[in-house]
Amino acid sequence: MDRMIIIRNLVKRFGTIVAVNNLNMDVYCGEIYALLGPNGAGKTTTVRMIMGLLKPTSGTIIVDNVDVVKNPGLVKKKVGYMPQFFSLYSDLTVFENLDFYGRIYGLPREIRMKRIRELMKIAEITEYKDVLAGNLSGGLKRRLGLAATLIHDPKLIILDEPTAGIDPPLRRTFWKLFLRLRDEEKTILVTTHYMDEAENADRIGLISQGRLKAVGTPREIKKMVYGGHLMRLILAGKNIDINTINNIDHRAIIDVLKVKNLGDSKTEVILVVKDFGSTLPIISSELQKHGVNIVLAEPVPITLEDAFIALTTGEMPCLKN
Amino acid sequence: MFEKLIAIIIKEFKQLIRDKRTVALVIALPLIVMTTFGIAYSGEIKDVPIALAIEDYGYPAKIIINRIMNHKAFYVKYITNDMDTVKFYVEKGYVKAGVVIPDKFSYKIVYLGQAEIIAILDPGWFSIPNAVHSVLKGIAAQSIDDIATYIYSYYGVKKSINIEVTPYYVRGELKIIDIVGPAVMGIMVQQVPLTLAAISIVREREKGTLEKLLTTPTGRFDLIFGKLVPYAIVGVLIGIGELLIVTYGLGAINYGNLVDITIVTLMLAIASLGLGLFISIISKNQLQAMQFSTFIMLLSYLFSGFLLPVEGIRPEARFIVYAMPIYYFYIAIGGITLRALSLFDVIDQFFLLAIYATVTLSLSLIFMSKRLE
Repeated sequence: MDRMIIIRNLVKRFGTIVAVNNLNMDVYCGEIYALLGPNGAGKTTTVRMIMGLLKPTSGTIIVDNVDVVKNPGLVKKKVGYMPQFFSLYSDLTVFENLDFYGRIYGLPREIRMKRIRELMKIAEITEYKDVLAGNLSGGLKRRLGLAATLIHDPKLIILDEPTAGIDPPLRRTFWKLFLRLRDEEKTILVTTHYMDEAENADRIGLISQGRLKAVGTPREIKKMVYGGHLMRLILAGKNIDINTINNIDHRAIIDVLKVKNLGDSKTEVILVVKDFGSTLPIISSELQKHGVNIVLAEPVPITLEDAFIALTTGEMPCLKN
Repeated sequence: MFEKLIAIIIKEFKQLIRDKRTVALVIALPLIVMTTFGIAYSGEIKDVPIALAIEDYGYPAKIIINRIMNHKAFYVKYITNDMDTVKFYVEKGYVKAGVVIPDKFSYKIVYLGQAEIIAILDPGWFSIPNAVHSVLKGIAAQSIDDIATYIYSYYGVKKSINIEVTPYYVRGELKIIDIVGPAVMGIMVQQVPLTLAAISIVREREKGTLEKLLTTPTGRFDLIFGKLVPYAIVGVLIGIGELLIVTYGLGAINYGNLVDITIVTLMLAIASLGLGLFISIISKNQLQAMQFSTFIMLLSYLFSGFLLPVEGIRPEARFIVYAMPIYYFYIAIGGITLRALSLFDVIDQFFLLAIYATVTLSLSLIFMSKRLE
């Protein structure tokens, strides 16, 4: 798969503070890549370096085969960037802001007008066309910001915390739009600290203290916590203990996390398995050989938040009863 | 009872002293202004360019001429034997004053005991005429003894003599508004665009709009000149508006051609914008930019050559005058409006303003970072 962004050994220091620490990252063409991390993790610094707003202390950033440090002007034409905070002109109207950025990107009048109409419709701000941007609500400002970001139909869209501080319905609307743009073969790099919305991304990069701790699809990221999927079993049978499980000689079981006697000849077991669906029948038949029946089998969900904390701090999720 | 008030006072103090550059501006700028003012204004008038018409070559005249030539207040730029030529030089602004030692000066003083020297003065130079008149009266007084000694030793006659200094104002005397009008116009044309420009980039930086703008293909040139054009137009409109009010509303003299006035005014506006944009680029916030702007305004009042002519400022502090774009404008606009000069006659000042604009705009382009750091 072609890569839209290639980052190698990227370092950014502010005095003694290392904001980005030897970051290596690839964003593939046509994907939504969520850079997920807490405040101060280095997300904004990273995207600002990609946009040429900050000069890296060391390392390279290639965007669509162009070196950002050597040729920032060329990169800027290809990218649409939405900063974390509202960055349009409060004393210009919605239309005037979009028209201004259309002109900045050199769009001819006809194309510009058509594009503005389309974007106002997509962002649902057509009725606010003549309202001063400063008088818009927070959500509408975000919509306008996104429309301005898309004005020149960029190949790569970089959105720095686009949903910070907006209500859940609008967040959902935004993500629908991101998915639609992805379907139109745009590449989207989005930074966020909202774990739930990051699940919509094709791939997630977990960033903490300026380092990328893990990269993968949301499913892969969750799997990284224990090295596999969690399976919770309620077993019926007598004298079930850890040895009963260990006696199941199958490579599908990666680890045994919990064995707890629930009384009444019932035992709760939590396993780490390679795959839930294919492993369950094997385990079931193996246990039956030892006179143990499975009363209940269910996957144990791991949230992205659990995964994030586990992968960045080493603190494993609490497995509830 | 006063807890809330005290909390606000403490907070304000903390904010005021937290940023070192703001502290430096708050404390250092007034000190710099006062110190520079003290140094610059503590000297005597020196090197006023004058034209000297010598119509009499008698010994008493030579005594006067010798004193004029060697007086530190004067820099004798032209010597002629014709009063009309001196008047012409003064009218055209080639010199700031003229002195005429009239025909039969020596004869009159020897035989009549009384003679006059003529001071050709241009009231458009604000305080220069009084200063020149005063220096000439001093020279006349100092020369009386020498001339009396000469008369006694040569003619054997002891007599009291008197030398009058007669002022002659080219184009008659001016009203205050005639002189102040162009100066105020200069301050307006300099200060309004300068202040607008000074806060323009730093405001975008503070509001966050610069972050977005810098990620577009906009170049430094677009940013700097895109801001320059509207502000320059505003500056010119303000200047011309002020001049029209002063001329037609308040009856001030204006011999100038409106096209020449507009061109010179535009150049001052551009030079001021260059300075303003440079201030905006080096300022961290709008407060700093405003302080810089106020600092420039104070310096402009004190060192434009209007309040005190450059000849009255100590030589070691004159560089401040030469660093003010308004200084060149003041000479040029005074020449056009009061002395009926054309743009061609004040082309030196126009070019100096153009050089000023080029330097400040180049510095702005160089220092304008396309990054946020």
